[in-house]
Amino acid sequence: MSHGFYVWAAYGMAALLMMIEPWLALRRRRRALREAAHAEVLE
Amino acid sequence: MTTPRLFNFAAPSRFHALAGRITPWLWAAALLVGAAGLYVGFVVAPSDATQGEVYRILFIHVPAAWMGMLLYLAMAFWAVVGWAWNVRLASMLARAIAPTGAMFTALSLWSGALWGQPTWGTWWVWDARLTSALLLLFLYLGFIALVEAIDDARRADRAGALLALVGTVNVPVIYFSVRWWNTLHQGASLSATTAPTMAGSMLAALGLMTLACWAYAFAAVFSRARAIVIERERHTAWVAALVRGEAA
Repeated sequence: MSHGFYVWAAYGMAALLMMIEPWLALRRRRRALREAAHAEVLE
Repeated sequence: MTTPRLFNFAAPSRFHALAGRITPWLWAAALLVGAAGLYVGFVVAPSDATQGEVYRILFIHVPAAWMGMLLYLAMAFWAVVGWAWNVRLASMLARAIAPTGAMFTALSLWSGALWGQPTWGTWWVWDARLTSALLLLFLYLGFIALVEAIDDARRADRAGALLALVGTVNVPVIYFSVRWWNTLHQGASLSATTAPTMAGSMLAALGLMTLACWAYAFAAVFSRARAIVIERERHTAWVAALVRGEAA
């Protein structure tokens, strides 16, 4: 197996994880805002 | 005695606003510095005399490993601050750091295995460095699972802080493992007491990629922290106003 496979696999996984993580954070924020819109204000 | 201005940002609403202003710049810095680091690492830096091209994996492996360890210490620090002084935002920050730290640790293990196979002839060995790094990943995953499993947020914060604090002993074990034990993993890439042995362009690439990972980590943690703040503060008037503002 050429060394290129190993290098591409390493950076490819890094790129994939670094695209998924911000997307998950954004999705979490949107869900939090949706739930907050229906939440009762207690203070 | 007046409260120091820094404590103003312990208010979740102020942190949410400040992080919202800073985060886009952090994403931009991560992209630009990362692009520069990749250019220097793949175009400027020469091939290694013994490893050929596969050594270039180290430009992501080493920064990822460093970030995994440093983020764990940061997570434990904020978790303990939240526990000891009852600062809600500190506990929220600890929860926000955990997934990013786990990601970097997993990435360091993945890239390390991809480097190890062509150089050592094996994907994995149970030496002190690799085993303690794997333990670090389990500690991250354990923290995340523990705080998510407990419904009461403050109880979850306290339990997580205890686990994070106990796990901090693993970080110096990881760092000094290559000195304390006879390991397959080589010694530190850089030393504070001796001049670097690697070529200048390789050092530059490593430095740029490390900075890019720092910027990425801050951006990711702040993004997640803002979501956690909204989740935990959803019953407050400021979040209600924020929702009305975002909906407008």
